[in-house]
Amino acid sequence: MEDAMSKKRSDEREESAAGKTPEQSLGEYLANIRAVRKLTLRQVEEATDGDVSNAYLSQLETNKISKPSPNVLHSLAKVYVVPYETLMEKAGWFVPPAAPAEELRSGKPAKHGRAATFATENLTKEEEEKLLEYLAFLRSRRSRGEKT
Amino acid sequence: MRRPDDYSLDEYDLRRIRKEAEKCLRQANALGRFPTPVADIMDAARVTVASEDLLDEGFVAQFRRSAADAGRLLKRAIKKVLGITDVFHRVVYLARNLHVAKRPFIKLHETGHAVLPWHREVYALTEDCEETLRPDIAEQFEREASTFAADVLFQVDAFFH
Repeated sequence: MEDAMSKKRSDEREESAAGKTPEQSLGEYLANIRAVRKLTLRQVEEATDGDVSNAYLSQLETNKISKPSPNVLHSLAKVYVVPYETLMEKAGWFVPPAAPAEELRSGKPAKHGRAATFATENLTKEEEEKLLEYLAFLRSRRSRGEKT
Repeated sequence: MRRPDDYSLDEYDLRRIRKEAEKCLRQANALGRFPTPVADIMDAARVTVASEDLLDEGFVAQFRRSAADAGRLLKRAIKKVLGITDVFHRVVYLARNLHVAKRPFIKLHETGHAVLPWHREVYALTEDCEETLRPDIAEQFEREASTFAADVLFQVDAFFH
């Protein structure tokens, strides 16, 4: 009977081999990790309490879904024990840092996704950055226990 | 019927959000209590509302002295937001001039960003690093947080079937 530790080590080796190629598409990565975890599509559906349907997972694995749902990716990350960030990256949900700021047809800035806000109007990249700096400033005030 | 390429909220997304909303209501023993006790819900979710006013002139002035903000960038930014959440530390900052009727919803919207795990883990990254969400998924996260807030506030039955 293979002991738990050596099985874990061999799983980790297989897992890092599965994730080693950076060009691996989301679908390939998901299919590989499911194979490594030795789970069927239905078992994943059960393990996620129905949050990930076996049909949707099958479509994800064959790259048929152009916009993979983040909550599904999160559930998969938990079941497969892989970083959610990796799945989000492979799904293309992050903008590369050097990308030019997007604008809407109206000329106004597109929604920027760095801060968790409720905004009446979309922030520009610079405004969002400044707001996050301000947040860090407020946070440091709180931790220093400064009063109003 | 799930439509794979449509990124507006589909029934699966809605169901997932309702599950989280119901979990929140249960944790706070708030099911069936009306008006929905927002403070209890936030306590149970371990999310705090900061006493600091986001628009406090003193803070803004202090910040502008310590950081270079000659272009009044911060003031422009603050004017655009009604609330902002420090997701990692689970603290919500609200604009104090926010109309009292809007406060419960905005608080719960911000709580949504901290409570929905697929939001929380993303914002924890984006706040400190240079990672940025694509605009379309950022918009979707906004709709999800608002859906969460509505589901909690109106205590929509979590069970579709």
